[in-house]
Order: sequence, then structure tokens, then C-alpha cells
Amino acid sequence: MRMRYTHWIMYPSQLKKGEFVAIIGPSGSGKSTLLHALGGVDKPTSGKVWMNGSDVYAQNDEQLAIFRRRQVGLIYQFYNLIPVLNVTENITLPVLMDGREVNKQRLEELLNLLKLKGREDHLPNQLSGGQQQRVSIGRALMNAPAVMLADEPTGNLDSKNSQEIIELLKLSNEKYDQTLIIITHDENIALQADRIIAIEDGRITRDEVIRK
Amino acid sequence: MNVFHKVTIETVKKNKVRTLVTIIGIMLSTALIFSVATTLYSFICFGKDMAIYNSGDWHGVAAPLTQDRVDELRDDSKIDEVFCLGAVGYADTGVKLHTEMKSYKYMVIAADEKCFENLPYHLKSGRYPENDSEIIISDIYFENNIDDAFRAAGKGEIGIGSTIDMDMTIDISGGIGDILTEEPDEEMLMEKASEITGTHKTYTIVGIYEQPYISEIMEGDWNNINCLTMGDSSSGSGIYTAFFKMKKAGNVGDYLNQHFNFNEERNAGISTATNDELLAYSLSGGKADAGFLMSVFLIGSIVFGIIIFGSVALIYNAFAISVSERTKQFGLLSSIGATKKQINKMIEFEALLLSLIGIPLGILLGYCGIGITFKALSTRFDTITKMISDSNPVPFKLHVSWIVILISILVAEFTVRLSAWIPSVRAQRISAVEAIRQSGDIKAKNKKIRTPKIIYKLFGLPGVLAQKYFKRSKKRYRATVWSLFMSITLFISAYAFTTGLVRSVEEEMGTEHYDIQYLTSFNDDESADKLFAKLKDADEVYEAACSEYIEMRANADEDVINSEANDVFHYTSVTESTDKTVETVVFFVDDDTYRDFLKENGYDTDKYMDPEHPMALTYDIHEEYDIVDSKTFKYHIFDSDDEKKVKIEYDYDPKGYVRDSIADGKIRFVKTAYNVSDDPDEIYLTKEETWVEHDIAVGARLSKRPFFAVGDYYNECTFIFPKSLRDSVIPKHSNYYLYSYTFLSNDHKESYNAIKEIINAEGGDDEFIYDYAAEVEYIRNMVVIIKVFAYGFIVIISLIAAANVFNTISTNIALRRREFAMLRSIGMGTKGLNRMMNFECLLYGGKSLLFGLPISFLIAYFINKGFNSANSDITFELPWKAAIISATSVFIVVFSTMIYSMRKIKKDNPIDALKNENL
Repeated sequence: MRMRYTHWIMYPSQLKKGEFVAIIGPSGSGKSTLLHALGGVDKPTSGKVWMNGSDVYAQNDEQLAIFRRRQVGLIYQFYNLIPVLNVTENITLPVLMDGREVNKQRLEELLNLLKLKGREDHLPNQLSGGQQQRVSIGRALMNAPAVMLADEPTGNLDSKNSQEIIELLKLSNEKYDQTLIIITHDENIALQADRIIAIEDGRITRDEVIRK
Repeated sequence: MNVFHKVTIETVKKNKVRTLVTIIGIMLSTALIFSVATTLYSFICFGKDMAIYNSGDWHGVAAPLTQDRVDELRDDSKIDEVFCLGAVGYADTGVKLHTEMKSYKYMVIAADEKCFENLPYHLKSGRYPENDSEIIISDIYFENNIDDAFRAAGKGEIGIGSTIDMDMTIDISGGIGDILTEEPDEEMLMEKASEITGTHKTYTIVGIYEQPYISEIMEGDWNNINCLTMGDSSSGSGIYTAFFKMKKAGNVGDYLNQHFNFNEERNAGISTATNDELLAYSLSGGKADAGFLMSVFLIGSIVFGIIIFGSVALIYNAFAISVSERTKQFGLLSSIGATKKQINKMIEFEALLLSLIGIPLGILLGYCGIGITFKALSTRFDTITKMISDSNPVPFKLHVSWIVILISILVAEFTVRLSAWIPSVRAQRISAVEAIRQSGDIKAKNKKIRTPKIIYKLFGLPGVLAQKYFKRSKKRYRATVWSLFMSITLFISAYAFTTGLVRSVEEEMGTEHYDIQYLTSFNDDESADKLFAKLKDADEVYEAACSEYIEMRANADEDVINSEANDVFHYTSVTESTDKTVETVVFFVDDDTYRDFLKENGYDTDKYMDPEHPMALTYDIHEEYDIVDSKTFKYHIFDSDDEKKVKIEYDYDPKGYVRDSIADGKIRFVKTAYNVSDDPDEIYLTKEETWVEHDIAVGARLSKRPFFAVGDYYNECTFIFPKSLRDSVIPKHSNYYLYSYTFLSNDHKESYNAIKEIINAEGGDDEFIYDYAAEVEYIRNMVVIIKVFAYGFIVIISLIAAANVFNTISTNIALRRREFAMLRSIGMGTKGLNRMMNFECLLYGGKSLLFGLPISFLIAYFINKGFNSANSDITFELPWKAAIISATSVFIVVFSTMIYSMRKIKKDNPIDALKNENL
């Protein structure tokens, strides 16, 4: 796969289902670009992305959008919540987009898991940084996607919150057998992953399985 | 509710100010659209009402028809209404104007009730007849000397209350109206004629009506005194003129072709016609005179175009800002799975929401606005409609219809949708990645931007920043600059147009300065003077003059003629000398007025009132329009004020006779009815015998026409003498003399009525009283009305533009909050920020004026040229006043918006602003 921004990036690689992968590398190396390409957000200039045997970018725009909705969970460093929707609405956004009924049980489960019980009606500006990030994770988990992609999810949080978030993600990864890919600068977090991929100048410089 | 709808609603609620400004913009443009549509519709209704008043409320007419054919019409499903005129008969009056003429006849026509409602028989006095013994009589009786003839024949006066005995006949040579003069059913008529010949009828006159001049109901020739009575004509000829209204006006032409096709035998002799004047206003077509409706639609389209253009600029901008602000939101939604369609629908929904609020309020605002405008201008409208027709009571009112409201709503909705279209396309194109990174919005150009050193010197770093920012993000500011540019151009153009209008009107009006004029004729001076004595004292008149006037030709030697004027003269004189001939009019004005005039203007009374040596003053300004130069030239015909010899010539009718015809080189004159002497009935005279040639002396040239020597005498020379010198100047030959009474008044309406009353009381003819002051007032009112509408329109468009500017600038500032926070955090103080923003203001305002002013001046120049090509002569003046007003307004709007927006920013804690995600 190639992405054209300011330089060539090539990623020949395969990820296993249920794998927890950490991607590390210096700024500008192309980590976020890779993440977005994997998530069906940013189409590669050339090359392909295969998921579960299908070519992700062979789909049209409409299909791609639905793919993102149901198959991918995206978490960003800056929480990117819709400021005018409350916690419940932000979490259930992918379901609401589908026009389907919200699974109340699943929602309850998530709210409990994310320790957001009692804050269902709060707007983002009424939450702390850690709480906002948890909402973000909730949204990513709501549809139980096959892949969770997190771009520096703890970059804006203190160490206590950071660890809590990583625990949540790991829990989800183990419980739902979701493939989890996290971009991080934090060595501690990277070392908790099953596999570390290091990227530099658009190329994979290291691909190490730490844990089986 | 759909989550996308919820996000849209909450976002709209959150940005209260921008939402409000956008709604106001939608309201204003809807109001404007509605006002324009309603005004145009009111024009059409007014035209229609006028058409009905003038020619009646009917679509088609057919005549002559028998009762059977009339019934056929009545029973036809396509016909809505039928009403008929029927011929009752003729009766001889036994009165003639001249021995050679036929005697006058009463022509009695029966009209049913609906005729009085739908045909233009407008009562001047009295009431409509209620049975077949009552008649209303046409005012023709009072014209064409018919009433004089009656008096001369000893028949006295007839009027309301008079009874007339008539011996009725049917005269088939006269017929009823133009329509009926073509081959009526002679046999049937002859039958009827023999039936009713000798029928005696007595009628009572209960009213006098204004004779309508429409051929379809013109009744016979000018020797008929038309009378209308109530009923059908079953007692008369049994022939009808049937007027009818169709259910669908547009079909009348086809209907007539079908049912009254002249190729069919039974239709022989039947003529038909359509009421084209009314049908021109029929929106369903018909034989529509496309002209009027087309111009209405054309004007409407142009004005709508301007409104839509201005509104789209604002509303588009509002949506563009909305999309721009929500870039991140859309990107985020896209990244978590929203389709392009769903994003698009969000904007459409926003458009719908704002329309649902803005458009109904706009209609209401428009209705109030135009209602108030019409009410405020109603008296001015009245003076204008009265000008169109003295007796026309049709007022120009506001008419509102559901169709107009619907059209306004649709046009407004179209405008909003059009405005939201491009932003919605843009929103769909936002890539999730770009949006998340928010790098898309500030697409700075890569090229080097040079900032002149002077900016640094004057404004320091803030100025340089402002300049760079302005130059790199041109697209963003395009809307602001464009709105301002449009307002400036429209304002200055409107100003140039209305100023030009006022100046050309004043230039036109400036040549005449009298208020009221009355024209009439008398057989002798005594009658004229007697009337003058009474008229002088009419209410509110402060100056009056009585002049006898004669139109004639004048010859003068080339030597005394202004060389410039040489080209004016094309007639050759009878004598074929080197003399030049010009059409003139000679006034003999009453001595008192003349003496005052001489004194006031410094002319020697002895010189100009000497019976031994009569000398005329002359008004000899000739006006000529040169197409090549597009200018009007004015010059004197005579070249000096010195005494000049001028030969006047004219022909006349001998006293007691009127010119009839020419035979064998001689003119045949017949005795008039007034000539009750033993003179022969006819005399033959040669041209020379009825020709007058006379030398007069002409002195000083006037450059302004005096108020007592006015009339329709453009490009003629006017000579003025005092009345006392009349006989020494031109001997009296004719049998009647023309008089002009002119008046200056403090209240022209009151004076007009008073003068009319006096004339009627003295038994005079009040037809030619001319209220010139009313015309001036009418034109002035027109100008005011045009000004009100023009400026009203401009003001609203400018408000829309101001709203646009406010929206753009305030949002741009809001989006740059982080940037300002950053600048503050690295040490730029409030002063520096202010300077930066002030300089940006100067840039917006300056750029819009840089383009706006030259283009407006150019447009003003062409407008001036337009007026001059329409026969005015106004020098071009740069519209400085308007330029200053618009420049000031531009800067006020821009600066105040800036100040308002910056107020919020200044309160920001820079660090919080930098960190805050949810801005």
C-alpha cells in the first residue's frame, strides 16, 4: 500500500484477528496515515487493504461509510465528540446513524464498564478529559467492531487516566476478540501490546511479536 | 428524531447570533420579494380596474342579434354572463346647428341592469333609470354646441328633471353603433319600423352620463344625442347588441370564431369584437396585448434577479460559514460512518429550518412594509391617477392575492436552496482526514506575499499580519468585499438615477410658470371682459390675465434673423421674397397686467403702449434637439432687441360665416346658426379676400415666457401687445375671438374649482380649464414615489449586505480565536490586536470602495447620458454626496462588526482558549 503525502510509504504486512498491536515511531513518520488507511478513512494512493478477505477500498463511498460505521472503531487523541450531543447520544451515534434501535442492555454494559453511569445526559463540556475519552471509547465499542484503531488515546491524559483507558481497551480486546491497534509514544503502553511495529519515514523498521 | 436532525438543531441553537442574522437575511429578502411581487400585481390590478372603468367589464360582443341568438348565448355553458343593449328608436329633435346639416336626433337605447354595472356609462350627475320612462342623457349634448343650438332654436335648456316628448322611429341608415351599421337584417327592421313609426313616448331625464368612446358601444354618428333607458328593447326593434363574459376569458377569440363564423349564413351581417383593453390584463391569455404584461414581467424579473442575487450572496455565505465551522464535525461523522448523503441532508435540514422561520416572518414583514408604504403614498398616488383621467375614480391600491404569496414563498425558498447548494456540495467533499486535522480550512497560498514597508511603518507588525492574512485567504473575504461592493454600486446608481430624474423634470417644468389656464372663445370683447372681472376674484387667485390670441405666420427679413436660426425656417412666404417665415401666435393681453409686466421688467411703458406706434415684445426662444450631439440647443430667433419690421399674415372666416369647402378656386362660406341676419346663406370669396397681411414693429426679446402668454406654442414666436392696441395692430374680421385666461394661485385646487363654478354660473363652456399646477404636482409626486421605492429597495438590499458583512467578519474572527489567543500568549497586547483588526477593516472597506466607486461613477455617467438622450440637457456631476454616504456606511458597518466580535475575544484567557477543544 502506498500513500502519497510528502513521501512514499509502504506497508507490506499482515495483522491477526484479536491481535493487540502498538505502532511507534517519531513524529511525521506516517503512523496516523497508516491508521486512517486501515480504518477506511483515507484511501491509499496505490495498493490495497484487505480485511477478512475483502478489499476495503473496492467499496464505493456509501459502502465505505457503512464499513466504517460497523466494522471499525476509531479513537483519537483529541476526543472528537459532538459537542451538542450528550454522553448517551455520543456513544450510540454509530447505531443511530444506521437508523437502528439502540440495544439498551449493551449500552448499560458499556456505561458501567466505562464508569459513566450517572452522566448519561451530560454534554462533553461538562466532563473531564478522562471522561470524554471514555465516551469516545464507548462510541468506538458500541457496534462491537472487528477492529479498534486508537491514535494516541492517552496523549492528553494524566498517568492514572491513561492506564485506566489502556485497561479498558485491553479488556475489550480480550473480551470481544477485537483487533486493537494503538499508536503511541508511551513506551509503557507499547510494552503492553502483543506486537510492536516501528515506523520511520514511511517504512516499517521493526516488527516484533512480544507476546503470543 | 433522526440524530442528524438533532445535531443540526442543536448546532443552530448554539450559534444564536449567526442563526439570527441568517434568519433576518432570509426575512429581508422574502419581504423584498413579496413587496415587489405585490406591487407589480397591484399595478396589473390597477390596469385591469382602469380598463374596466374605461371600456367595461365584458369579454366579447356580437351584434345585431335577435332574441333567439341572445338566448342561445345565455344557455351556452362556456358563457358566464350576458347583458344587452337594445335599440328602442330614434326621435327627431328638429334642431340643427347649420342649415346644411341634418337635424339632431335622440337615439334611445335600452339597457338592462347589468349593462349599467358592466359598461362604462359613468354618471356625471343624477341617477340611473329605474324604468322604461326614465332616461339618462349623454354629455354629448353639452358639447359640440348642441346645447347652444337648442337654445338658439328656442328649445331652451334640458337637464335633470326635464321631460322630452319623442315620436319614435327606427332609422336603419343610422344603425346602432359601428357594429350594427353593417347590413342589419333589413327585412326585420323594416317590419319593426312600420310597427313603431309614430309611437309617442315621454321620457324624464334622471341623469347625465359621460359618453364612452369605445367603438363597440359608440352609438351612431355625432348628430345623435344618446339616451339610455332601462329595460330590453322588446318594445323597439328587437335587435340587440349582446355583451358577454366567458367563464375563461382566454377563450373568447376562439368562441367568437366558432359561433359567429361569418362564413355561415345565419351569421351574415353579424359583427363581433373583443374587449382587448381588458383582455390585455387577463393572465389566462386571450387576445392579450403582450406589451403591458410583458413589461411588468420583465421589470419583475430584473428586480427579482437583483434581489435573488443579493440574497443568495448573504444566505450562501451564512451556510458556507456554517459548513466551515462544522468541518470538523462533518469529518468526524464521516470517519465514524456517516455517508455523503447524510451529511448533505444535514445542511438541507438546516436550510429548511431557517426557511420555516424566516419565510413566513418575511411575508409578514413585507406585507406590513408595503402596506405602510402604500398608505403613506396614497394621496400622491391619487394625484397621479386623477391626472390620467379627470373623472377616473379608480385608486391605485394594494392588492394581495394567494398566488402572489405562493410565488413569493417559492422564490424565497428557491433562493435559500440555491444558497445552500454549493456549501452542501463542499461539505460532502470534506475528507474525514482533512477535517479531523482541520488543515483544510486555512489553505494558505504558497506564493510569497510582499507587504509594502509603509504598512509596517504605519501599523507595525499587527498591520503586516493583517495584510498577510487578508492576502492569503482571499476566498474567505470575497463574500464580504463583494457584498459591500454591491451595496455601494446600487446605492450610488439609485442616487444618480433619482437625481437625474429630478433635474430633468425641473428643467422641463422650468419653462412654464403659470398655475391655471382657461381657453374659450367669444363673439365680442365685452363678454370676455365681463367674465374676466369675475374670474379675477376667484378663490386663492393672486394674479390673473386675460389675453386674446391669434395664430398666424410672420415674415421677417434675413437681416433681423439670428444666423443660428436660419435653419429653422423652411416655409416660403406667399410673397416669395427673401423673407423668412415662422409660425407665430400674437397675444393681446389686458392693459393692467401688461403695464405691471413692463414696469417689473424695466421696459418703457410709453414705447410699448403707444397707440400711434404699436410695438410688440417677443418671446422668441427656439429649442432644438440635436441627435448627433445628444444635446438641446436654445437660441433667439431674432438677433437683436432693436426695433424690427415684421409682416404678419393669416386667413379668417368672415363674421357670421363658417368655412365649408373649396370650389373653382374660391372658398365657400355658409351662414352660421347664430347669424340671424338677412345675409345670404352662402358666399364665395377668394383666398386673397380672406387674407390679412399687416406690418408690425417688434422690439425687445424676452428670455422667459410671461405667465399670460402661455400655451402649446413650442418653437413658435410669440408677439405680445396690450389689449388697447388691438385694433391698431390687426383689424377685426372674424366672427369669434379666442381668449386665454391665465391665473397664478396659492391653492390651485381651490382656484380651479372656483373658476369652474364661475364659468358654469356664467353659462360658459368649462371644457378647456387646464390645471397646470396639478401636472407639476403630479410629476413631482411621481418623482417622490419613484424615490421612495428606489431608496426603500436599496436600503433593504443594503441591510442584507450589512448582515452578510456582519456574518462573515464575526465568524472569521470567531474561527481565529485560537490564533488571537496564541498572539496574546506570545506578547501582543490589546492595542496591537486592535491595530491589526482596524487595519483589516480598512482593507475590506478600501477594496470594496476601490472597485465600487469607479464602477458606480461609470454607471452614473451612463444614466446621465440616458436622460440626455431622452431630451433633457443636464450636465454630468459626479455623485459625491452618495459616494461619501456609502463610504461612511461601509466603514461604519465593518468597524462596528469588528468591535462587536472582538469584545468576546478580548475576554478570553489565552491559555484556556488554546487548550479548549470545544470552542
